[in-house]
Amino acid sequence: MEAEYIQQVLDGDEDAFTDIVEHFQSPVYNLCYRMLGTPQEAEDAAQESFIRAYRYIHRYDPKRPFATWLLSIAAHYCIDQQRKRHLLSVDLDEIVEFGIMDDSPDPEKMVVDGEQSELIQKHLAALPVKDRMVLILRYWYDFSEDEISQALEISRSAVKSRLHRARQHMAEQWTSEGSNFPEKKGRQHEPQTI
Amino acid sequence: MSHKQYKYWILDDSPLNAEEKRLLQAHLAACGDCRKLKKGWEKSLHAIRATERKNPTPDFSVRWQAKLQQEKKRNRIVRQRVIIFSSLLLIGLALIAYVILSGSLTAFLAHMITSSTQILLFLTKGFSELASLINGVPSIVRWALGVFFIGVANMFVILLSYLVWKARKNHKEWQRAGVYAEE
Repeated sequence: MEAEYIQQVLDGDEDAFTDIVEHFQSPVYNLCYRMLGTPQEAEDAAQESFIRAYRYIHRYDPKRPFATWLLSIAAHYCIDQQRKRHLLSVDLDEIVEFGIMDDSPDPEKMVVDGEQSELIQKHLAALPVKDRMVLILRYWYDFSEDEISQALEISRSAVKSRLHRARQHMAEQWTSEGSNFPEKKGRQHEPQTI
Repeated sequence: MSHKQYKYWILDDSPLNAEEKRLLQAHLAACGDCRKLKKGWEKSLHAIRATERKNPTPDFSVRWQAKLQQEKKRNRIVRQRVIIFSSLLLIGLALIAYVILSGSLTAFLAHMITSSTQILLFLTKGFSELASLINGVPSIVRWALGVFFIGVANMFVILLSYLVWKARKNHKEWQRAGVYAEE
């Protein structure tokens, strides 16, 4: 189905790309949200990712899965955005506070509300940009280490070490902050089906 | 075996063989830090799996289409500007090349200086004749003409200011209307 749409886009049919946008909007938006932390930034980043994909569709290699290619564009864009944030000398604490869009980031309050997502988002925001992206692609999108390596254009050993560092960070954060969090049953999500 | 290896096993996704599992279990029974790390990662992973997928607000693709049109419009304007600028640059460079290559650069400069001097002389002569003409007119007429021309100049300035203000206002309204139409 994707191949058919892509061919139509290459033949000059703009509407065919709109179908691609509708099909992939959710995984791309979710990736941007997990990376950037706010709905507005996620919306802008997702829109821009699709614009870039449309602009460079002729460079797409049909041997690769389209979803991987598209998500790698979104990933690179989000990483660039994060680097720009750092250039603007924004304090990490501010990012965390801004990122979770919550007036009450107290873990206990989150426990009461059952909003695990906010706490995870807070832990993610404290990770270095590339470590965060590697973790998101691995656990939200079920990418293999090879796929992550291709998408982010880094070596497989770099993926392994970044993943290890990210897992350690998440485990330590959880131990120190969210240890009282109740486990929910029956809400385990499947990795993103794209 | 080093503590680092156990930490690696705890955090790694790859399945362990029976011997590795046994070693890890024995280490976990003795090491509180590793037990804490294992529990922390398991809970963290559970929380990751439990998070819901974030979806964009409705009409995402409609907003994308509008953005794409804006992008295309902007690219068209940039392309036009590049073409105009390149053409002007090319014409300028061609003229310079022609003047240099034809060997007439010094002649051209001499001609320019002569022409400028002639124009200046002509203007000086014209001004002095005008001054002698004005001196021949009675002073009351000169004053009346002076006041009249100052008035005309003022009116011209006021009219020009009004036209500029009106043009800016129209431009702003047009821009606003364009934005609403795109929305």
